[in-house]
Amino acid sequence: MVSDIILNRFKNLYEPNSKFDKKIKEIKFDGWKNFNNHGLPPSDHTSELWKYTNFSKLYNSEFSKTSKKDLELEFTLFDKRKDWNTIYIVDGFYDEKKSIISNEIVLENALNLKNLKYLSNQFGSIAINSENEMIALNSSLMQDPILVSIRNSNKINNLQIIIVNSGENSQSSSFPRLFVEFSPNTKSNIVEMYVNFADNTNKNLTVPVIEYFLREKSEVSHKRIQIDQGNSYYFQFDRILQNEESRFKSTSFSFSGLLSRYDIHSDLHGINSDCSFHGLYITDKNQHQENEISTTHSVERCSSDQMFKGILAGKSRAIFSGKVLVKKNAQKTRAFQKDLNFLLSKAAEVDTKPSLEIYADDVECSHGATAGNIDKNMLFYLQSRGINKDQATSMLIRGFAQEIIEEFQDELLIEYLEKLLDEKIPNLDIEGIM
Amino acid sequence: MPTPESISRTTDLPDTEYKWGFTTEIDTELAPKGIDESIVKLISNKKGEPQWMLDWRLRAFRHWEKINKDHKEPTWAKVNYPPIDYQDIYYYAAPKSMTNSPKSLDDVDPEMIATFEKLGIPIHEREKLAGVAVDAIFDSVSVANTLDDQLKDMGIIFCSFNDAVKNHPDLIKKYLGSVVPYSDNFFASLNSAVFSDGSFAYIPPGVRCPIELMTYFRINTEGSGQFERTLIIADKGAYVSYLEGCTAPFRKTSQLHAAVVELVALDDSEIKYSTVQNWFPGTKEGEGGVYNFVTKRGKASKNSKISWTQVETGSAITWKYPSVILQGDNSVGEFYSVALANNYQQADTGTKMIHIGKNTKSTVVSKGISAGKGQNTYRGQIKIMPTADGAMNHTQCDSLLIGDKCGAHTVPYIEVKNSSARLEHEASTSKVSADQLFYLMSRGLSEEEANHMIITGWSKDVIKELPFEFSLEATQLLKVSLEGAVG
Repeated sequence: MVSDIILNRFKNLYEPNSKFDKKIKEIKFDGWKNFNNHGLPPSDHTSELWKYTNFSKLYNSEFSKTSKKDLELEFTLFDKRKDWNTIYIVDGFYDEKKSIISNEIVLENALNLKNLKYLSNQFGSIAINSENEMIALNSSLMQDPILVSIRNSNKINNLQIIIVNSGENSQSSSFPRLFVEFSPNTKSNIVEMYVNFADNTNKNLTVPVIEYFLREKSEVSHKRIQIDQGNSYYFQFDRILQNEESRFKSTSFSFSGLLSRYDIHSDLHGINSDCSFHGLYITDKNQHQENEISTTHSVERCSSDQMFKGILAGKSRAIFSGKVLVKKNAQKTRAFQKDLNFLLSKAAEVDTKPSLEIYADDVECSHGATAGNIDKNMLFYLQSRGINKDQATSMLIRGFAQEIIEEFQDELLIEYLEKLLDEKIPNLDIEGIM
Repeated sequence: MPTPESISRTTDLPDTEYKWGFTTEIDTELAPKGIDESIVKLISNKKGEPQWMLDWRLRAFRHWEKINKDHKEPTWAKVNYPPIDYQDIYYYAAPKSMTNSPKSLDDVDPEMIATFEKLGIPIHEREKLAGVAVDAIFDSVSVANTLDDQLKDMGIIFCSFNDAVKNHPDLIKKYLGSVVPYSDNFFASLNSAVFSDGSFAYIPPGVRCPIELMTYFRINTEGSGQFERTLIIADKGAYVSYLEGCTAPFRKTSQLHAAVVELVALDDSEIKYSTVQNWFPGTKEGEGGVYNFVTKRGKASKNSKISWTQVETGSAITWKYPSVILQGDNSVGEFYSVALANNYQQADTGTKMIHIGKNTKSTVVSKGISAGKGQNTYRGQIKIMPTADGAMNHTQCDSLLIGDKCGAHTVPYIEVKNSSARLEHEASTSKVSADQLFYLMSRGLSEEEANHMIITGWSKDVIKELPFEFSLEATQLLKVSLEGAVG
């Protein structure tokens, strides 16, 4: 039973008379139908998908609508890169004035589809409404869906997608939605970033859904950063469909808000395709960060690799749920999965669930997970060389994180993240250990 | 030099059918089909139970009725089966000759003795030398119990559950439901209401049980469920090794088996519990077979150790998670398992290790083999509570796939609430390596023999944990159960 109270709250945000393209409007209606049937995910641990998520706070919150507006926001990091294509989505709306789109990229919004009309059939087929309650919620309430096509195969295409919460409205909710197509033989760098300008008292809900459609032999290097010091609810879904010989390499960094979830899934749909999801999550205080990382091997001769690292402090809680599904015909699959955790405080909790579901026999799959405190021997080694305990601890944490940071392979981002870690690590709440 | 075509792929192997599938023709007393309070009362009455036992059953039944009404039968396991009609099961079936319980083995129906002889169970006194004390359970009741006078002198109690209720009510009252409460889960509640019989063992403080205790379970009557309850208590500093085996006749309809096993290991004691589960797995076409929905759990006090070893080759569906609550400081929990799913078998099995005490340690080694259209899932939970300083766990779960129509799944849940804990989990899934097969076959082994040799070697980590006789049986069982799966 879906609670009427919750439905009515979201009904206030729902606009059935949108002027979207016909097909996209259908996805919107279908999303609302799904949301009406299932509501928000349950909070009583009965759903395997949301086993560790506490939705009770969300049940009691009422969120307001956002509107399209002109704001002067400072993005020192991204403004430096004038030669990059940059998409700003502020409170769910595409900010045309601020965004930079070169003529090598085709971008259209769902109100006015012309050259990208053919993509409207794919829209909603990679992130499927019936798969997940929150995807259905995004489809129902998406304010300004954007479709993008990357077509130049002669150079590397650089694209930044900046999802912004302006903090202008309190308790606002936004539902950014993108569909990105990569044409055959293209090579692209994608940077996804979430920026929250809201202060601590302002609890916003942001549910972005991005569909990536990789055509044959396309290559994507995907970098995602989510930094949120505020008190927001954040549920991000990246959904990827890969055709023959495509590559998707993702590196993610999360330093999360009150309740956040990063959910990435790739369907390896064409033979010889390959995907790798690596990431680092850091949680402190009373933060709650979930990572739902999954890959489906639909056809043979594909490989996948998941490796996440966690650093937990304070009373925080992090969840890693990795899944590899190997379908019946996906022979010659290679799939690896790993989750390593540093538990730095007594009150922190990590729940890790690296699972495999395998229906083909000619496969090579493995997974591993560890959780533990800083190795006392390592600490002793450093201390015996005259480094004080706090410094030695920070060094070891930094070393643990560095492996993932380096995978960003982007000078600007690495510099930014390293600076952030140098600032944050000594201030993590790691009392009560050792 | 033989050309590859000339390598023979046929081998002389025994009949591949389930050889424990015979039925015994004996008079059986049945309660009417279905379940309600009167059936619970009838079972209790038949057993001549005291009022407190009946009250406990009724509490369990009322709880089960409530969760059954809410359709709370667990659905999270990766198994598929048609809905069970709980009103279409006999909850009580007993061999008629047992109505007046036998004083000695001579009074037992010879048909029944013959059945156990056929199964190779050393039930008869003359086989006392086999070095095991046996409690044999036929359908719902314990039919024979062989216990050495020597054990009696040591103060060891090993008897049917029913006798224990009458003769040792204090122990039952104290420990029944202390590890698996009647409200624990759907099947445990059902068991608590209608359990028929089972085994009870108590090892007094400081006593090391010199021989292995063993229970053999057999379902005979068609359409009957078997709900036995085992309670083993190792008092302070005691040691016991306990074996359990099971078979059922060849039937085209499915049979329900919902057992509960509770282990209580008091301070400094050790319990070793070994199972070779060979319930009827159903026909090759997936008809019939036993639904094995079992709750097994142990509670370990200070410095004690509980070790589960299981070889699961039978049952159409296995839903079983032998667990240990590591409550006392320095307690140890172990779980070794080989689970096999061939033809249409489905196994969802694993363990739970709940670390509460300081410096508790647990080890999990699980080997899953999937063949034919079998589906095999390892589902395990390692939970480190905030109090469990210095807890350690090592988990290893490997899966082997034979053929491209089966499935192997691994679902570990690792929940850590204490930063001083150390956890390691590793798992792998693969098929039998072509190099290894080629190596053995080039030395004259048939493909089937080579496969069997590789699988036995691969499962050795678990098989070696079994007592000697059992490990021989387990190796043979794996061989028989896998026949026809290769090639």
